[in-house]
Amino acid sequence: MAASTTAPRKNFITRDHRYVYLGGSLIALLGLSMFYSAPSPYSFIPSPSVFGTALAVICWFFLGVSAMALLVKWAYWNSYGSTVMKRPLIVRVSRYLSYLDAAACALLVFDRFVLKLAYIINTAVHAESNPTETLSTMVYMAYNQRSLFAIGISYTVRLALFGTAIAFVLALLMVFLRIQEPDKRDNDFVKFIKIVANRFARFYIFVIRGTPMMVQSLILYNAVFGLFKRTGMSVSDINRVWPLFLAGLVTISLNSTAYLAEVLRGGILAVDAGQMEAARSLGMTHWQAMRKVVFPQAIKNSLPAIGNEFIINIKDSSVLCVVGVSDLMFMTRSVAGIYYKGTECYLIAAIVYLILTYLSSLLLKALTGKMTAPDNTKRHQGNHTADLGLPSSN
Amino acid sequence: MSNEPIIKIEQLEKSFGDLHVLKGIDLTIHRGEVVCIIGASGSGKSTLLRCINLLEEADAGHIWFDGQDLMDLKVNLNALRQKIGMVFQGFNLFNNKSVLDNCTLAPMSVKHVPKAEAEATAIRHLKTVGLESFIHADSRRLSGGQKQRVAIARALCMEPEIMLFDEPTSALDPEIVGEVLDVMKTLAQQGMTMVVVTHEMAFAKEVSDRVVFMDQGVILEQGAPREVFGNPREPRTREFLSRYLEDKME
Repeated sequence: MAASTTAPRKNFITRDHRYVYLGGSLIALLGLSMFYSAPSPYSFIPSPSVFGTALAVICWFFLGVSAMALLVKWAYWNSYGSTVMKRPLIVRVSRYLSYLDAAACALLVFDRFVLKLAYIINTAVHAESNPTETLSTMVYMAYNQRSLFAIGISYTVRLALFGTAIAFVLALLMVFLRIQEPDKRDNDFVKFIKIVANRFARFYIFVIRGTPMMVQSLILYNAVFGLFKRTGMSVSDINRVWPLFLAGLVTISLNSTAYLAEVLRGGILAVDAGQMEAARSLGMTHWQAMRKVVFPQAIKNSLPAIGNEFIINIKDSSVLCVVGVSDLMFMTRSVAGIYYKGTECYLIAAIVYLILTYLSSLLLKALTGKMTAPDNTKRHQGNHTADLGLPSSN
Repeated sequence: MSNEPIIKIEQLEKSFGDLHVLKGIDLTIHRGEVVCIIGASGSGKSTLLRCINLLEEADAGHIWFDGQDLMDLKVNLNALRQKIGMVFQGFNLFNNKSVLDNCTLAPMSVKHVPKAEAEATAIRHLKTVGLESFIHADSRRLSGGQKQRVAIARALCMEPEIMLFDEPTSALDPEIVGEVLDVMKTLAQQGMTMVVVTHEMAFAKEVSDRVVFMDQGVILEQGAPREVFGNPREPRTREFLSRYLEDKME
């Protein structure tokens, strides 16, 4: 046990052999677990066949070789380099063996997992009635109600996309109000206007961020509906001028405005104060300096966070189903009501939301990565949130 | 250099909260004069400079610029600042603009100079600072010395009557301080009125017409560089200069 002086045995797991032997063993185990699971009707490698047995033997053989190598390593800890296992020929053969092992595993995974999945999907799609097994029933419902889900996805994407775009424009106005500070040299009227603008923006952001979007959507929809009602319009007329989609879009836009205004304000604060001072020292007005120097940099700083807001809106638009906007969540609830299968339906919704947000984050990463690429100053490094994966909810 | 004062400061006071930074400053700058303000960090040099173009609002006292009292709240700040060029310690080039756009932005948006004319002026001043080959460069890609020279050219593009330099070389490494000081020397020789807050004693000695020594918010001593450096009257000035020279030796 003098070995511990040079290389402690606790390093056993982490030495270089781990790649070929440990990794290969895991692959072999995966392949074997596939081999011993039940084959589907699509399977082309039946268990008792010569080919199937050969694949299993390759996996077992590799497991055996690995076990032997690891035992030799354990026994000859310090002189492992001079053992037979380190001879170039043996090293090369075990490497080729690991490729064979991986190939066998890949074939088995394809046969027992991919083809089985294809079988489940194919039978579920053509099933006469709703199957009982979880995966099958999910496929069955998703396929048979695909038009409802498609409408829901389209609503959700449009709500998030247009909502975020409108909110961005409104947030530019809102942040402009928010950053107004009365100056000693302003006249009383300007001072008053600036204070009112600042207070209004603060109050708006305070209220919107302090209340759930679900409540906001219900208040907005019902309040506007009630207003039209008072003018004596019929319900069908009101539904025409104040459709649910519009109610949802207005809600999501007004809600995001508050968050994006704060995002932009953070972006403005992140611009070095020297930029403003330099612009003012050249005689530019506060507004000119903001528009031409500070805002462009602030928006660039904020791009990743604006992208995050879009992804958040994909998810948070789900609360709009309470007013009846036909988004993905609303449609999922309808499907769940048709089949009385809550868990499976909401699992479908979860998977679709996950795909939507993942695709969006990939897209945004590509877009904002390109736009912020030449800017590698230290100050910006802390500001990139696009690569954090999926953002949390508001 | 004439005897006509361009800036006259009287009993200027400025506090940041409890910190009394300027305690009654009197200072007159004449046209064509180069004044260097020296002193320890925290003595109020930069604050004084920033009060002149109202980046800081002084609390009390008077600043006359061309006979106009800047402490009057009705003064048009933007018109005033066009005549006062400022160069910062941190360069403060516009990060979202190229070198040329840095120089043309203010003339075009403030003075409404046509683009072609603004660019011609900018190129002329960029030549003065030796950066005509960097016209289309990304301003963030330049070295510190190049950035500061662009900042000087940018200020010159507004054709100011006076230039304020707030420790223009303090953020530069010693090897490239020279290229910025050379540009400033050229400016001084062309008769530009300059107020320079600096720690470059050699520059102050060589270029300035007058050296002002500030300590703890007051002007302790001022005079020709020969007198202030050669034979300082105040013990505090002597102490500051001797410590400074010792540091330089090491």
